[in-house]
Amino acid sequence: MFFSMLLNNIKINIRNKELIGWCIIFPIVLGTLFYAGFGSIYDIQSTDPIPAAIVYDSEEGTGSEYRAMIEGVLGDIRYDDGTPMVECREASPEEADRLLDEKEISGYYVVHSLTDMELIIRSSNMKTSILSAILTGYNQNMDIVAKGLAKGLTEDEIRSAMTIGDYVKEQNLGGDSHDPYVAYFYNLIAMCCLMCIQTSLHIFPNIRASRSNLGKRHELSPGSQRVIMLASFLAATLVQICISQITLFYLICVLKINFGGNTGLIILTTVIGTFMASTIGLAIGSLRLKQSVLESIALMITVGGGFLSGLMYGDIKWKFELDFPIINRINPASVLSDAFYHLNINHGGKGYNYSLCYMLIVSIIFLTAGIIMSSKKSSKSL
Amino acid sequence: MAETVVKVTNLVKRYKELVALNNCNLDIKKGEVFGLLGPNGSGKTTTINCILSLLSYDSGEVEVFGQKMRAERNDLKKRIGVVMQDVAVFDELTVYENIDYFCSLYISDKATRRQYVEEAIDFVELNDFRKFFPKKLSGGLLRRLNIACGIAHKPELIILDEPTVAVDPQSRNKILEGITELNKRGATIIYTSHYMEEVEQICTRIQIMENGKGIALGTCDELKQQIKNTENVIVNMKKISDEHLDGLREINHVYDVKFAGDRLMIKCSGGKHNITHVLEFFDKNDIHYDRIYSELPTLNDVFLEITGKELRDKE
Repeated sequence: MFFSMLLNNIKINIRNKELIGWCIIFPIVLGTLFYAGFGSIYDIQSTDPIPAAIVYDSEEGTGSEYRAMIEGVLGDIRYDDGTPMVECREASPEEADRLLDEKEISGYYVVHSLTDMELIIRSSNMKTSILSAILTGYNQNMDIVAKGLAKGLTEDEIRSAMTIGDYVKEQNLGGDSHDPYVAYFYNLIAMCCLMCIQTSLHIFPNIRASRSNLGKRHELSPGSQRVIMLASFLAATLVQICISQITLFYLICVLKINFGGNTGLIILTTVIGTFMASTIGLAIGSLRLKQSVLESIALMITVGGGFLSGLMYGDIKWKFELDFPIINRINPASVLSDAFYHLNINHGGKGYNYSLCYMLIVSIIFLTAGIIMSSKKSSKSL
Repeated sequence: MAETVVKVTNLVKRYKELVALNNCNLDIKKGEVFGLLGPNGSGKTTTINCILSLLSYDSGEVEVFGQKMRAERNDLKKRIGVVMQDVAVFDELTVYENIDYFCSLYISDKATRRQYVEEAIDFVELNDFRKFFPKKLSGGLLRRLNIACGIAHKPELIILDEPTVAVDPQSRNKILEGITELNKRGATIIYTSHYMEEVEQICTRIQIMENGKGIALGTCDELKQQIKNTENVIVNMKKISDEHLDGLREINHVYDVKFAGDRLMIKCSGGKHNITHVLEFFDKNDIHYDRIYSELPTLNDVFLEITGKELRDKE
C-alpha cells in the first residue's frame, strides 16, 4: 500500500500546477532577476571603462604638470584584466553638462585644485558609485601626495604610499567564491527549500475527516493513517527536493553562479533543508486551525524567514546578529543560508555542523509530532 | 431471520444545546436497501457519520456486522464502502488513478486491485473517461466517479449519503440502477436522501427521520398504510364556490377538501370509487372543470400527515 500511495502522491504533487509553478518558477525568476541586477556589476568588472569627463576650472588645475598627475592617477585605476576603469576626456563645463544630459558620460570631475576635486552626476547607479569611490580614493591619495611633498619624499615613496582601491568587489577571507552577492543566492536556495512547507501543509487536512472530504475518505478506509501520512510526506519532500535541485542546477549551470565549496555538500544541505521544511509544514498542518490561518503561518515562515535572512535586504541579518542573534539561530531560512555560507567560507566547520544539527533536530521533532498526531479518532464535529 | 448488519441503539448526539440525534434507533438487515428519508437537518448524515465513527456521540451504541464500531476498527471498515454527499477525489489524478488510489486503501494485491478498478469503471460506465481528470467531467460523471471510488473494493455494506444531489435526471437514473444492481450482487445498502421518489423506487425498507429520530419505519406500502389518506382526487379548475366545497366534504370517505391555485385537492380515506362520486357531484351541480385524476398517497403524504409539514422544500 505504501509504495502505491507514494507513487500516487508523487503524481498528485507533480501535477499540481499551482504548486509546481510557484515552487519552480518563482525561485528561477527571482534568481534571474538577482543575476540581472548583479550581472551589471560583473559586466563592469570585466570589460567596460566608465565614460567620464574632467573639467579644469582653475589656473592651478590647468597646469600641465598637475593635469598629467591627475590623469595619471585616474588612468592607473584598472580592472583585473588591465582595462582602465575610467575613460576620461577633457571638457568645458558647458560641454560636460551636455554630455551628461545626453548620457554620453556617467559623470564628470570638476578639478578646483590638485587636492580639491568634485564629482557631478545626474543619477545614482553602479557606475556613478564607482566614480564616487574613485573620487574618494583620489582625494585620499592627493592628501598623501601633498603631505609627502611637504615632507620632501621622493616620487617612488609617495607612489608606494598611495592606494588604488578595489571599487567593485570585496575580498573574502577564505573560501572559493569571492563574490559578495552570492549570499543573495544562498538565501534564494534556502527559500526554495522552505517552500516545501507549503507543499506538506496540505497533508494533514487531506487525511483528517474534520478538515476535508478527502480526509473523510481516508479516515473511513482501513488504511493506516500513519502510512498514508508518511507516503504523502515522503512524496511532497521528494518532489520538493527535485525542485530545489533544479533551481540549484539553474543557478550553477545556467547562470554560472559560483557557490564555492563542495557541490556534494551543497546538494546534501538542500536535501536536509527541504526535509526540515517538509516536517515544519507537516507540523503546522496538524494544528487545529482554519486553513487560511495555517497558510498565513506557513507564508510567514517561508517569506518572512527569507526576509529576515536577508533575501530582500542583505544587511538585516547582520542587524539581527548584533541585537537579536537568537533570531538568526532559530530562523530556518537564516540557518540554511548560514550553512551555505559556512560551506563556502570555511568548507564546513563548526558553523556548518551547527546548522546541520539544528535542521536535523527540528526535522526529527516535527516528524515525530506528525506521526503521533496521525492516529484515527472520532471527531466531535465535522 | 436475516443477519443484522447495522444496529443503532438509543443514539444521542448533541452540539452544545442542539440535539442532532435524539435516541435514534436502527436495525438494518443483510441484503436490504434501507432508506433514511428526511428533510435537510433531520439527522440523516449525522446518523451515518456516527455509524462510521467519524463523529463521536454522547450516548447509545453502534454495532456493525455484530461488533461494536470504533474509529480504529479497520477490520470492519474494510467491509464498508461509503459514497459521501460531497465529491471527494483528487483533481490531479485521472478517473482510473483516483479509483485505484482509493481502492489501494482496501486492497493491497496489485492484480486484484487492477481487476476491481476495471470492474468499477465498467459498473459506473466511465470507460470512455478513464484518462480524464475530474475537472473535465460533468457533474453527473463526477458523481459516478465518486461512487466508483467508494465501491471499487466490493464492500458488503454500502452507505450512500445523498449521492444524487445536483445530478441531472439521466445520471440520476443511472446511479439508481447501479445501486439496485449492487444490492442484487449481495451488498446491503443504506441510502439517505430527501428525494422521496428515489427512496420509493429503490428502498426495501424506509425510516423517516425528523428532529434527529425515526418517526416512521416500514416498507413503502406499510408506511402508506399507517396513514389515514388512501387516495387523492385532484381536479384542475378555475373556481368553485364555498357551498360546493362543503358539498364535496359530505361525500362518503372524503375527509379533507382544499382549493388553491386552480387546483382542488380531495383527500379520501378508504372507499373504492371516490373519483366516480366526485364526478357525479360535479354533474349534479353543473360544475365545470379542466381535468380530474386520482393519485395514491406518496411518502410526502405520509410525512405530511405524521409531522404536519412537507418533506422537502418546493423546488
